[in-house]
Amino acid sequence: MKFPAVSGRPCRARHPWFAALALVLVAACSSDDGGGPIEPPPGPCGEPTPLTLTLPGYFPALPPTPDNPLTVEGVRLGRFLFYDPILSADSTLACAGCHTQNIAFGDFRRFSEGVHGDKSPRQAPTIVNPAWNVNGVFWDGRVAGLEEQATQPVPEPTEMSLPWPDAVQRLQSHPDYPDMFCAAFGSTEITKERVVRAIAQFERTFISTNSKYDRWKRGEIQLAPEEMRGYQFFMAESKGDCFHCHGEPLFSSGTFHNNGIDTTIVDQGRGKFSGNPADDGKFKAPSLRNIMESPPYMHDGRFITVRQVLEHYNQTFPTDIPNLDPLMLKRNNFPPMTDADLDTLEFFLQTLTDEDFLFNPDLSNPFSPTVPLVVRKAQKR
Amino acid sequence: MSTRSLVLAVSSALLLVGIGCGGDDDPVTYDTPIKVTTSFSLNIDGQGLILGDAPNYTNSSGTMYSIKTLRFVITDVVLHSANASVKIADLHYYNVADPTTQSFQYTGLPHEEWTSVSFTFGLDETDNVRDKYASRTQFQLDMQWPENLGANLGYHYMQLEGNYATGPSTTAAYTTHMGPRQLDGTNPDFPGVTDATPYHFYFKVTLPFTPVHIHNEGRGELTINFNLNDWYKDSDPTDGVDSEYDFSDYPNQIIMGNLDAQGKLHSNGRFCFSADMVAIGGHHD
Repeated sequence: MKFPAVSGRPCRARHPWFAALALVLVAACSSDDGGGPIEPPPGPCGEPTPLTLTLPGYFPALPPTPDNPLTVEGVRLGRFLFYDPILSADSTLACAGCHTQNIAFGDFRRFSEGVHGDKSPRQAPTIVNPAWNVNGVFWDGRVAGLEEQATQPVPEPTEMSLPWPDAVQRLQSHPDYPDMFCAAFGSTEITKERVVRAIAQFERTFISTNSKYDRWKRGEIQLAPEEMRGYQFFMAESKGDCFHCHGEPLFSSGTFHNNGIDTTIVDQGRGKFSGNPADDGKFKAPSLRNIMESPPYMHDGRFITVRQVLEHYNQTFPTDIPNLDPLMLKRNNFPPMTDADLDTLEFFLQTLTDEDFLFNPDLSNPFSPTVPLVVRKAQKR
Repeated sequence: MSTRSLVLAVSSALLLVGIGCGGDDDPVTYDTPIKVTTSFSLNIDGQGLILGDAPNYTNSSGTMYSIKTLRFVITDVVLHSANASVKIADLHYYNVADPTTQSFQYTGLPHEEWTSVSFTFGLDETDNVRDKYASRTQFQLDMQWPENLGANLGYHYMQLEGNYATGPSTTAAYTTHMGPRQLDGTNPDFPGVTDATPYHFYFKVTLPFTPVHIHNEGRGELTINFNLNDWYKDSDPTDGVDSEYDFSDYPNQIIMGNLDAQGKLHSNGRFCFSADMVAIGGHHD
C-alpha cells in the first residue's frame, strides 16, 4: 500500500499556522525586560518544551535517552516526517506506508514494497511500545536504537531509495521544515541526525497502555472467566508457556529465539548480524500487544491468523532443528493443547487490543483531516 | 668517603627517615580511587562453556547435555577484609548472550587486604518483589517471574537451558529455571494447590580467596568461578539427603514451582562457586 498521495510540500499549504507560530516564538525570544535573567537568553528558535510521558505503575521505567530527550516540538516534527513521503525518491512512500497505525504500525502485506516495486525480504514489524526496545531494533536486532533504525529505510534502494544528502536538501529547502527543526533543535540546520532523532522521538510516543488487559491490571474491570483462564494458560508451562518470550506488561522480552518455523536455516536472522552460528535462525520475539489486529505473523509473515501461530507452537517439534529454542522443544513434553485450549488463549490475546492506541489522534497522519476508520477485525471472534 | 659524599649520605638518610616517620601518623591518601572489575568464569567440571545443540557435557548422573541459554542474577555482592565490607553491586544480571552483562566494575575500594566475596544467588524476600527492578529494563523483561507462581514475587534467579540425551540419538529439552513459588490454586500446572506463605530458594555464599592487597594506583580483578555441572551433583553425599538432579527426574521439565526440584538446586547451588582475586599494578608509596 502506498501512503495516500500527499504533496511533497504539504506543510505550507496545510499549516499556515506554523509560520505564525514561528513568528510568535521569534518575537518572544527577542524580548528582554532587563530583569537580570540568571540563565542566558534562549536562542532565536526558543527552547523546546520537555515532554514527559505518563505510564502505568506496572510498566518498566522508560529507558533514558539523554542524547535525544523527548520534546513537544521534536515529537511533532517527527510525526510530520513519519507521515511525509518527501523522504522517498519519488515522494510516494512515507514511513507510514509500511507502518500503518490501526494495525499496530505494521503492514498487512506479507512483504512491504519499496518505491521501485522491490519486495522486502521480511515482514515489516509492528511498532508498539518501542521506547523499551533496548535489545536492538529490527527482527534481528542489528541496530542499537530507534535513531539508528530510522537511518536505514530512507537510502535503502529497495525501500525509500533516497540518499540522505538529497533528503536533507529537500527538507532544508522546504518552506516549513526548517522552522520546525528550529523549534525542535534550536536552529534551522537540518541534518540526517536531526531527522532520525525527531522520528525516534515520535516513535517513542507509540505507547499502548489501555487495552482491556491494562484496565484489568489497574483494577478497573474484571476479565471474563474465559479471558482469565486464557491468562492462566498464557502463563502456564504445560499450556501456552508464552510468558517466557512475551512477558508482561510489554508482552515482549525483546530477546531472540529460533521458534522452529523452519526445519533448516532459511534466513540466518540474528546470526547474520552477530556472526555467531548459534544465533542462526533466531528472531526477536515481538510484542503481542494488539496482536489480533496486526496480521500477518512471524518475520516472514507466513501465518495469516493467530490461530495458525498457536497451532505452530502446539506441534511436536523435530529435535534436529538447528538452534531450536529449548522452550519450543519443551513443548514436546506435553500432550497438545485442545482446540478449546487454543480458543481460551485467543480469548486472552484479544484483551491485548488497545483501540485507544490504534486510533490515537496524536499518532495519526497529520496531513489527513480524519483518521482512517478501517480496522481489521477479520480475526475477531 | 669525602666530606661532600658524607654530607650527601647523611642528608639523604635524614630525608628518608623524615619521610618514613611522618607517614606513620598521617592518614594515607591515594592519587586515584581503587577499582575492582568482577567477571565470571563459566565451566563444566573444568571444561569451557561452548553453547550448542548437541549434548557435550556429562552430569553426575551420567547424562549428556548441552547448554544453550544461561541467565542469572546475583545480589548484594560484598567484598570483605578483616576491617571492612564493601558492597560492590546491589544486583548484577548476567546473560551469556550479552557480553555487556558479563563483568561489572566498582570504583572506590578502601586500602585493605581483601579476603573474600559474598553474594546472594537470586534475590531474597526483600528484593524479590514484583517490578522492584523495573528500571533495570532488560533484567525486568528477561527474568520476570509469572504472576501465577506468586502475585507479588518478582524474578527468576536463573534460566539454564539446553538439550539432554534421552537415547543414543535422541534428545529432549531441559529448562533449569530457579525462582520462588506461591500458589493460589489457579495455576494450571498446580491445580488446586495453595501456599499460605511463599517459598524462597535463593542462597548466600561467601567465597574466600588468597588475600590480596591492592596498592595505590593499582586495580583489582575479581573472578567468580561458576561450575555449572555442580547444579546437578549431590552437594553432600554424606548428609543422607539425595540432592542429585537429573533431567529425567522431571520429564516434563515443569520445575518452576516444583518444590523437590527447587530444593535440590537450592542445596547444590552454593557449591557451584569459588573466587579468585588478583591485584594489577600499583605501588607502595
